[in-house]
Amino acid sequence: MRFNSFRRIAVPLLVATALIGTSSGTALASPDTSDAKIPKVEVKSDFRFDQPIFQDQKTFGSGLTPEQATDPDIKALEVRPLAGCGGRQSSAPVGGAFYLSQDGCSYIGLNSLATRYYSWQLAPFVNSNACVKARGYNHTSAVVWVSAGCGGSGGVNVPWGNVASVAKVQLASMGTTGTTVVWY
Amino acid sequence: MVLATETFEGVSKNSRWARFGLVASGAVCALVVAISVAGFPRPTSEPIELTQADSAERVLNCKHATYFVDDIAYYDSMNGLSCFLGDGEAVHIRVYEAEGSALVVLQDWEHILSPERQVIHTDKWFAVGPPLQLEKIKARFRTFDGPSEFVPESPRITPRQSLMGDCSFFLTSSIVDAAVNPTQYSATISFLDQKFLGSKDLIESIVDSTVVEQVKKRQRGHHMELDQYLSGFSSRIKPFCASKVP
Repeated sequence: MRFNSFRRIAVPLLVATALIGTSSGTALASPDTSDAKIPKVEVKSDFRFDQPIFQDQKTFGSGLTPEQATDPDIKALEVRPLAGCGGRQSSAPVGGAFYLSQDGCSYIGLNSLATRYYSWQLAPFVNSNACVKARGYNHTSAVVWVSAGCGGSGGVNVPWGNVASVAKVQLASMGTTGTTVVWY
Repeated sequence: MVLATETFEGVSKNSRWARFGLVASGAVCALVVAISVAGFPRPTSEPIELTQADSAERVLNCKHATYFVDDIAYYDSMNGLSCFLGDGEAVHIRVYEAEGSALVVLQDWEHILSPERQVIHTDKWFAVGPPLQLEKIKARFRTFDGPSEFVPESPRITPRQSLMGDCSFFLTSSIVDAAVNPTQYSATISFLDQKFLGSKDLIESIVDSTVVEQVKKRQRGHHMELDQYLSGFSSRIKPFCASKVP
């Protein structure tokens, strides 16, 4: 109960800090000098404020100069992973058609070059191989689907940009039965 | 027999009167139109069909643009344009060949629409961008209603069309895996080769040192540049998929 109260206050505060910080972080960083630069974070309609949100350190630093990446003011804007943002399990029936997963964790991209790494593997005791597509956003915040491979496991780094949204995958069974994958 | 002849003659007479009436009313209408046109300023040209995305570029004043020769993830042929206007604003136009395709593809764009980024469309093309820019396109090209933040329901595509899109998507993606992720390429291409016999030969006939270099170079930049480059291979991949999907 006390934890829930804490979450009700802490999570919105964290998000607000991240969103405010993101705009100033991008302005400071200016990693992208093209006209196509998106100057502020775009919050997509499926972004969830009531669940764990994170932007990992590695991704955060990807578009910054070494000086900017070590700037304590910029680092202070980082949103750290919260507990509970683990793998998701999604299934697809036999037939080869692609099915959209449930929402994954929420992510905030801190600059236009931010990326997110997806990985997946077949769930234990599942023999039917899968093909997986992972969702990201290009630098104009339009949706892109990227192949995360076929077989028993796979992974891909997708562009995420200045976007606040949730991770999603599409998966299809490539075998003679349905399949289930665990994805992160 | 006699009755039939009388009836025929009766119809014949009626037809002559009908034809006269039609000509007379046509002449009256033409006169009314002529008077109206002469009395008022001539209206601007009527909106026309948009069949090539780059013909919309003229009304948008793009600072720079990215062109797409196809949609690698969808069965239908497409030509597209992403027009960058400065200040982070962009208009994306995608023109498809088959009726209904625009509505199917638009479903993926729905959750990125907002008051600042809206859509206009017909069932063959759509444009997503700031409403003010969309109005410029709408003034020149025939569209359904809009700009709007909402996407209409999509028609269903057939299982064959869906499979052709998936074939094209994964084969094209295999070009990237072959260039930068050989382990994943080996796993994926063996599945594709089972499902669409000849996939491995096709991809390995495409990927050479120049392609590897170009993919790596574009992966470092924005994803749109990579998509644009990969769309150039659709003329080889889509016919292959069409021949392999029953």
